[in-house]
Amino acid sequence: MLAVATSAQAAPVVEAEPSRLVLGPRARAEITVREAGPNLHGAVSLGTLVAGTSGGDFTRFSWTPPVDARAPALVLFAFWSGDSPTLGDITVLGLPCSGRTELAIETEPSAQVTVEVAGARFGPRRADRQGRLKLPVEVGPQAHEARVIAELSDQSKIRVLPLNLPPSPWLLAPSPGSSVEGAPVIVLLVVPDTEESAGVELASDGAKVEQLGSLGRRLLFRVTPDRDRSSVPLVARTLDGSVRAQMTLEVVRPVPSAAAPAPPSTPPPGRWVLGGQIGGYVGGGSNGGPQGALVVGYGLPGLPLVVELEVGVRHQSVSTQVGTLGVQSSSLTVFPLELALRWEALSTGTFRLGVRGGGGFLVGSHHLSSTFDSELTESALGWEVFAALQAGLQVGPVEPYIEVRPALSKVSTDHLEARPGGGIFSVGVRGVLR
Amino acid sequence: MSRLRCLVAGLCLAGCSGATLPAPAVVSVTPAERPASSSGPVTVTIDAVLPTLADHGLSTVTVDDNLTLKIGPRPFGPSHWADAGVITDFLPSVLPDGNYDVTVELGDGRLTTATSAFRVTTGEWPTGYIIDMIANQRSGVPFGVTLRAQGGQDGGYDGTVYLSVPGATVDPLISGPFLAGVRVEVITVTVDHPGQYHLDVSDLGGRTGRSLNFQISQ
Repeated sequence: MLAVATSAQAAPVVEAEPSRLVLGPRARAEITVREAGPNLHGAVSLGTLVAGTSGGDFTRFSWTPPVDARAPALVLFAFWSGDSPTLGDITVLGLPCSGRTELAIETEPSAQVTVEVAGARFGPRRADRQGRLKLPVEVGPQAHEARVIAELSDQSKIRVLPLNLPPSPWLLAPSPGSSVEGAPVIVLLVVPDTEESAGVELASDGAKVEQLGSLGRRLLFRVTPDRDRSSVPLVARTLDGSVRAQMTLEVVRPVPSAAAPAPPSTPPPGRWVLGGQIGGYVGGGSNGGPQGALVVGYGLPGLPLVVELEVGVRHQSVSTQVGTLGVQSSSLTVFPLELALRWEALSTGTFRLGVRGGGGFLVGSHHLSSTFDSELTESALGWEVFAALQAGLQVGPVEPYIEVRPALSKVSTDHLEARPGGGIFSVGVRGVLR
Repeated sequence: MSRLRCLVAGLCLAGCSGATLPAPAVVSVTPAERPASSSGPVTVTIDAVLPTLADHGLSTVTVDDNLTLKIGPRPFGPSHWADAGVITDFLPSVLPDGNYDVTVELGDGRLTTATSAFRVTTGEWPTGYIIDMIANQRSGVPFGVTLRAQGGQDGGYDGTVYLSVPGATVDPLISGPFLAGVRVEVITVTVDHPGQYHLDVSDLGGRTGRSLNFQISQ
């Protein structure tokens, strides 16, 4: 047996297995929620609901009734995604839970007795010589009476016993589960179909309660705690004052982060980091120009160290009058290919401070052109060693940063003397590949 | 083995940095042909990368612009690179008929030879030269002489002649071009001893002329 509940398009699909049960020590049900969005919430009117396994498109909950629960009840479940649901976002499922009891019957001596409760038959069983009988029956939450059928030879007597069942509890659930600094909280109230008393009221001493809407027996409220309250009691009741559900809404106040004890730093796991940076460099004379680089790094497991491979590009040029010959231009484009080790020296809040060191080859192309002789393009090879200081801010999944890099570099050929390094300034951004 | 290969590759990469400059090239010679008895401008166009060192630290570029250009055995043009490699110079009628190589050498020793790039054909020479009378002169002081070619090609001789003053030195040794058979040349004669001297002219075809004697004093 399976119970399935669906609601509006945005609401999840909920299944219960079994779809009805008898309360007892072994009673439990499995609730499966599908097509839910992120941040799935679940609430129940009675018992304990625990999230269990989850897969690609489902989350499974386990529900158990209170240990001492024996009275029949229509247990309500509600599921929704996000912290601010509308009524259309909420799926409600009712799980009928029957109670097992022993019905004490007084009838004709030695009569054959059968009991009918909400269509279910129990017995027959024979009464003793005094006409007394105890018959175990199961009573569901919708039952109102028990029909006792006593048969004696060719006579049959039917007696109706009213069943005074306790009302099923209502479902009262806040979203989110607590108020942050007195912020309003959405509160869902679901009244079971078995409720016979008229009217619904949600009352609170210490909060402003506003009804946002209703859909059948589902009601949505906005509860705004009064200022300086640390908790707010909520009571759901009928108009005659019978309390059906109650809870306490906690008002949490975040502790300033400065006063919070620093969490123990956990060694970072191995991770790949991808980043890029642009900027410029100044190396004296005409050793200067724009530059940029792509950086691929691997963070060593358990260490605040990142091994980085940097592939960049830099460009510089000089143009000058040569005697009476004309104007000669010399331009150099180099592609730094470097290995570096970055030490994540400081990480406070979102602030990051790092130190880098490394070196590598500068592979490039040198171009000579003038107004008086032919052009020349030649390859150029050089080297660079550097140290650098980085400061950044962790913004979500990425870390923008600035870098200042003193570098010693040299590129020379028979026709070129250049130092495309010196002081290198960059702004960049990087993120951990997932 | 692989380590050795990496080392070799690294050395090659380092060694391959830079470029050996290409040899200069003679792009054209204009005119490419001329009669032996004619003179006039010749233009040699050269394509070359001059020896250059760019120092980005000093923001300077140094260029070695030394140039040696020859047509056959005769030096031609300036001794320095000029006019973006388009070298024009006056070529007197001093080359016998034949084919001549044009040779270019840059300051770093790079050299190229354009084989038989300039051709000299058989000339049409005058029958002789007459030199107008020369007044008395002072040693080392320039003075003008009028040279007249006799006979020869239509429109008059347009070549040059060798100049000499026996017993003295004369400058220049080769005259400028005749125009319609006449050349007025400014020469300087330097003598050690005052006295009577004469001016001789001759061409490549063997025709000569001689002036009357004139007095040169100190």
